[in-house]
Amino acid sequence: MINHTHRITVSEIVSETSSNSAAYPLHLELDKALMSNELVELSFLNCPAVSSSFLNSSIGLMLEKYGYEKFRKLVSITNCRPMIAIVLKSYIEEHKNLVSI
Amino acid sequence: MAISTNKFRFKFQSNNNKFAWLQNQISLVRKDASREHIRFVFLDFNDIGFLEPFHITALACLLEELYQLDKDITIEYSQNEPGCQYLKKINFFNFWSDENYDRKNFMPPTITSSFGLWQISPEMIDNYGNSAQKYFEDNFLTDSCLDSLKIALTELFNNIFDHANSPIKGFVYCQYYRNIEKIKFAVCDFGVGIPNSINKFLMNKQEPQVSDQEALVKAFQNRFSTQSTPQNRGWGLHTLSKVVNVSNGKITLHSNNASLTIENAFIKTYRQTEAFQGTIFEVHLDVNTFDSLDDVAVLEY
Repeated sequence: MINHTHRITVSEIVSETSSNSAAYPLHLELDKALMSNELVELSFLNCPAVSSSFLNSSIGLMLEKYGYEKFRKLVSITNCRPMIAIVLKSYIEEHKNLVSI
Repeated sequence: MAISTNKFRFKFQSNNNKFAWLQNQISLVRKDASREHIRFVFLDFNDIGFLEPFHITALACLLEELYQLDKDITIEYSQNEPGCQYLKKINFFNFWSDENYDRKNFMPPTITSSFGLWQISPEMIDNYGNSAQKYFEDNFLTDSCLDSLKIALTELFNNIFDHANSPIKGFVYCQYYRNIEKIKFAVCDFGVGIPNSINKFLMNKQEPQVSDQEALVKAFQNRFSTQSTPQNRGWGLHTLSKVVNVSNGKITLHSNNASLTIENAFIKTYRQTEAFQGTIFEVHLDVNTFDSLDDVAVLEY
């Protein structure tokens, strides 16, 4: 059963966007939402540019755990500046062959 | 160059071939000045010539290495020599001569187009990237968004701390060149080098070794990782190349016995006969490719 949309604004829950460790709060929020099959709006409003290390420890872990299809079905990404969008799109789409573990 | 008893002297000279400069000057000084019996090192900067971020970071790593080896370093320079004037204006010499100089913080130099020399530390990675982005946006490129600069810097900093195993921390230096409409920066470390790191990983997995040139190409392959930390997934240099390509930029990399360039998504590698023990990246970004500050993209995947 899919529930209401849960909005996560990245800049409001992490202290920075460059390191693996900084991504942990985002990882927790995403995991909680996806485990409950909630629709997620992941907003990058006012978010500093993100590194691949940050993505590995947040979105990457979700893609590995839940698989690309479930992630794509449940998570929409909004308010991205163009370069962040390019990095995110490339990162997420490279996980297309992943199924949930 | 002269070596006598416990003294080592070397005079730097300009060279248009950056890798030759790296080998014939930086690597040579490293090798000879670091010998145990050498106590006093005299470095003459009077003919050093025009310097770019590449040179600045390599020189910084060299001086830091000698400093950590407890060598007594004397730098000889003329106030009238343009290269020396430039180094003075970016507070270069302060790192090793001013006991009160705060090495952990980045101090904007008197050359406003430069963001200054900084010794990379894990605690400051995000802060430096954000600050460099904001500095150039606020002072020169006021309608532009320099996310690509921050991403490129951060990927290289993380790469150093994840892989380099460097006995000294690396250095970064960033400058805006208005006349050619580019931002250039360089990141240098004196770690094991990318080919050595990759071949050690392959050896541990009992897989065949690759040439240094092949190793540099492998480093940029998506999802290739030496897994030096549990979180590594092999995205860092791939992301760097993507961002630089979108920014109509160029990456030049020298490490161990190879060099690599990436421009317009085209990779070229070169074999070098002499090894460089370390890794130096030089990145150029075309400022005309930067998005406007207010641009927002729709992300569909």
